[in-house]
Amino acid sequence: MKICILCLSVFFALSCSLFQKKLTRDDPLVLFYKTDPLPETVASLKLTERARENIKDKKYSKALALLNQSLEIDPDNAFSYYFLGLLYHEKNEPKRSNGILERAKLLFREMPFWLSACYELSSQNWLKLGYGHQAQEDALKAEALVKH
Amino acid sequence: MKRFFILLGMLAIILLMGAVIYLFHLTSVVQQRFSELRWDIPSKVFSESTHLFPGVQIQSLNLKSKLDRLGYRFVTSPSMRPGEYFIDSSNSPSQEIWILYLKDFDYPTRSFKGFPVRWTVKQGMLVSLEKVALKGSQALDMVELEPELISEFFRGIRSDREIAKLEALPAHLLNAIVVIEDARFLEHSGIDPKGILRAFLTNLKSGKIVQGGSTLTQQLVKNFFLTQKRSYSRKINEALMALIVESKYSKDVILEAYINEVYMGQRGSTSIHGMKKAAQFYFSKSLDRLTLSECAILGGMIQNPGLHSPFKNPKKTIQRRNIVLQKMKEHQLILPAEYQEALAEALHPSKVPSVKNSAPYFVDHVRQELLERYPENVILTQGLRIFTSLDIDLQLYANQAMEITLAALEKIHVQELTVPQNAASLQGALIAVQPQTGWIKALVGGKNYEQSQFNRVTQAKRQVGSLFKPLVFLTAFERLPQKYTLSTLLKDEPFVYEYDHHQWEPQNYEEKYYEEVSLRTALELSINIPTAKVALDVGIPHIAAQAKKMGITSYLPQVPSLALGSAEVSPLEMAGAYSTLANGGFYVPPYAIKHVVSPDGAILTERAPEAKKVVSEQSTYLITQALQGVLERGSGIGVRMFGFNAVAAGKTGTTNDYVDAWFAGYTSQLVAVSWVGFDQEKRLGLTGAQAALPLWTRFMLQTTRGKKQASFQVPEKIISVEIDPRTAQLATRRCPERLTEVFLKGTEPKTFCERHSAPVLQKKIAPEFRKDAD
Repeated sequence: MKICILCLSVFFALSCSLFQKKLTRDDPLVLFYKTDPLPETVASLKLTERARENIKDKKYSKALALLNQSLEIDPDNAFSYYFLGLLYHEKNEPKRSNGILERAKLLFREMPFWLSACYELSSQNWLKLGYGHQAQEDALKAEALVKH
Repeated sequence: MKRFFILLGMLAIILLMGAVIYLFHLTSVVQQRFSELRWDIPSKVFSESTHLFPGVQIQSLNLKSKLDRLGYRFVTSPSMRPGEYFIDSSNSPSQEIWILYLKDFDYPTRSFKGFPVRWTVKQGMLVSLEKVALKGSQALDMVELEPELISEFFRGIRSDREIAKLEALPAHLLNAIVVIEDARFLEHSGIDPKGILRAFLTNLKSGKIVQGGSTLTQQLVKNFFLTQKRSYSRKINEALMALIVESKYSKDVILEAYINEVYMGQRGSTSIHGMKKAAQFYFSKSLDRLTLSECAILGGMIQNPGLHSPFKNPKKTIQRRNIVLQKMKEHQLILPAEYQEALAEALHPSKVPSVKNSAPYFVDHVRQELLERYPENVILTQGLRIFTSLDIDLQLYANQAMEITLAALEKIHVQELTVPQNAASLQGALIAVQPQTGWIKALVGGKNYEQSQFNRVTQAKRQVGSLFKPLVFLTAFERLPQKYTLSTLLKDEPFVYEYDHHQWEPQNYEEKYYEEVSLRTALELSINIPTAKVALDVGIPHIAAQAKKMGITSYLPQVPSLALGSAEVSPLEMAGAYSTLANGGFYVPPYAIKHVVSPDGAILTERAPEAKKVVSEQSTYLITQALQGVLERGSGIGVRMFGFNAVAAGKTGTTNDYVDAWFAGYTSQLVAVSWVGFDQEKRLGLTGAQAALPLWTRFMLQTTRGKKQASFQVPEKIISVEIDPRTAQLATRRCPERLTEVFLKGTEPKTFCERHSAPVLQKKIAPEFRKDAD
C-alpha cells in the first residue's frame, strides 16, 4: 500500500512537471522566482515588463525611462539589466549591450533560462562586433543552458 | 510773410520726414521682436522622483518632508484638489489612511495628469494602493511622486514661464482676460481712443498719472519694448508701436504673445510670467483643469498680481474675481448659473513649493556635464528640463553631516590644527553613488558654497594615501592568486628599494613594525611596508593599469610610492573605483544626468547605466571581506563605535604629514567617499579615522535608518576554510587560534598546521590508530 502511494506520488509529480506550461520570455517575470521576491523587486519587475512591451513596439526612449525607474527601485533586478542589454542591442550598441549583459549574467546564476537568453544575445553582439569565435562560444553556452 | 510760410512749410516737411523715419525704426523694432517670438526660459534641474508601492517602508521615504518640499498642502479633511493630502489615523494608532491628490507633471517620456490616490499604512508599511474615482477605486501597482525642482539656470533676469499655444487656453480664461483688461480688443486697431481720453481726463484732474487706458496690445508693447515708467512720451511710443503691431499681426498672434508675456507675480526672487506657469504656480493645475472661478482669478490678477495674490490677499483676490465674473456675465460670456457657481467657489490656492537649492555643488557639476553637450546660451534660455539622479533626502543628510562634522572637528581638534586661523578654512567633500547604476545620489563639494564654489569632489585632486591600498591587493589577487590570499603571511620589516637612481624607504605609521602579518591584517590595520612589498612584487604598472580600469583617470606616476597613495585623485574617481569593489568587479561610470528634455517634450539626452567587467567577482569579494574587517577591528573601527552596524566595508586614508584625511566605504547599496583637509594643502594633523570617518559615518547612519540592509553576495568559487592565522595553514585542534578565512577555490592551504600538530607523536602512533591529522 505504501509503495503504491509512493508510486502514485512520483507519477503525479512527474506528470505535473510534464504538463506544466513552460515559461517563456513574455510571461510575467515574477513567475521565474522560486520564492516570493521582495516588494521592491515585485514593483521593479512590473516596470521591467512595461519596458519589455515598449522595446517590442520600438519605443526605446520610453523603455529606457522605465528601466531606469525599475533600477531605481531595485538596482539588483537582473531582468532590467537583460532588457537594457536588449535595448542597447536594438539601438545597435553591441559593446554597451555586452557590458550590461555581463551584469545580468552574474545575477541570473540561478535562472538558467534567462542566463541562456543573455548568452544568446551576447553572441549576437559579438557577431556584430566581428568576434566570430566569441560569438560561437556564447551561442554554445546558451544552447547548453537550455538543454540543462 | 511769404518767407514765414515757406519756413513753416519746410519745418513741417522736416518734421514729417523725421516722423516717417521714426515710424520706420519702430516698425523694424517690432518686426524683429515678433519675427521670432522667443523668451528667455530658464532650464530646470530636477531630482530623482519617488516611487510608492505595496510593501515599501513609508518611514524610510520621509514622505511628509518630501510632500512639504513639493508644495503639497496638508488638509484636515479629505480633499479632491490637486496638491493636497489628508491622513486619517482614527481607526488605529498603527494604521493610517492617506489620501493625496497628485499634481500634473511632465515626466521625460509622458505627460501625467494628476488624480487622487489612497493608500493604507500598517506598522510603517504601505499595504494597499488605489486610485480614487467617483465610480469606486482601482488598485494600483505603483505611484510616482514627481521629482523636486532643485535649481534653475537663468540668464540675467530671473523670470520663469512656460510657453502655451493660444488654443491651449480654456475659453473662460481668454474671456476673463479680454473682458477685464480690454473688452474692445477685437474691435480696436491697437489703441482705444475712448479709453485714452478717459485716462487723460482722469490724470489731468488729479495732476499726475493715476490711470491707464491701455489695450492688451499696448500692454504687450510696453512689456516687450518699453520701461514701466509712466510718462507721456512712453505712452506716445506705446500707442505708435501698438498701431504698428496691429497692422502687421493678427489678433491671435498678439493674444498668444500676451498670454505668455504677462507678469503674474513672484516666487521669491523669480518673477512668474505667462498663464500656463501661473495656473501651475497658484493652483497646481494645467490650463485645461482650471475652473471658471480660477480663470477669473488669473484674469483679475493681471492688473496687480501682488495686490490680488491668492497667497497674500485672499480677500482682495475674491473681490477682484467677482468683478471679473460680473463683467463676464454682463457680456454674456457665462450663464447666470455658471456665474453663481463660480461666485460660491471657495479660494484654494496651492502651497508654494520651495525651490531652495540644497545641492549647489551638485548643480554646478550638472551644469558642467551639460556644457559638454550644449552651448551655455541654450542652457540659460531654452527652458531645458534636466532630470538627475539626486536623492534630496540623501543630499540633506550629506549637508547636515558636513556641517556637524567640520564644526565638531574645529571645536575638538583645534590644537591639532597647527595654525589657529586654519580652523576657519577647514574643508570637506562627500559623494555618494549607487554602485550598481553609477547614479550620483548626493554630492557636497565644500563647507560653504557661498564662500567657495570650488567643487572638491570633482575638481580637487589630492593624494589618496592608504585609500589606494585595496587596489594593490586587488591586483595581487587577480594576477598572482596562488601566491596571494588573505591569509598570506608578509614580512613587516623596513627595507630600502632602489630604482632609477632613487631610493625609496617606506615607513609604517608611528614606525610600528609587526615582523610578520597576514595580508588581511596588513589591509585591516593599513600597514605600509607589507603593502609596499606586495606592490613591488606584483608590479607598479599592473597596479596602475588596474586603477585605470576602475575609473581613475588622473595621472598615476609609475613609482613605488603609488602603492601607498602618492597619486592625486579626486573623490569622484575614488567613488567610481570603490563602486567597482561594491559591484562585484563591474566598473560603472558615476553620472548625474538621466534625461534632458526640451520645452516641447523632445528628449535631447537620455542615459541608462553602463557596465564593464574590469576585475573578477572573486577578487573583489576577498577585498570586501578584508575591508569589512577594517570596520570590525582595523583602522576603521570608529565606524562601529559611532553606532553604525549595517553590513559594510571601508578604508581609511591618511597622507604624508597628515595633510589629507580620507574615508571610503560601502554597503551593497551605496558607496560614499569623504575627504577632509585644507585647500592650501597645509597640515591637517588628523588621520582619516579622526576626520573623514566621522563625516562618512554620520551620513551613512542616516541613509541606512529604517531600511533593510543586504549582505554582500558570495560569488561562486569562494570557499571558507578554517586556518591557523599564525601559520596560514589548515587549523588543527591544537592550534590556539583558529580563523575562518575565505579563499578562491584552489588557493586555500592544502597542509595542516605544522607548528601545532605533533609530527613526532604522529610517527610513533601506528597508522591504524591515527584518527586525524593530530
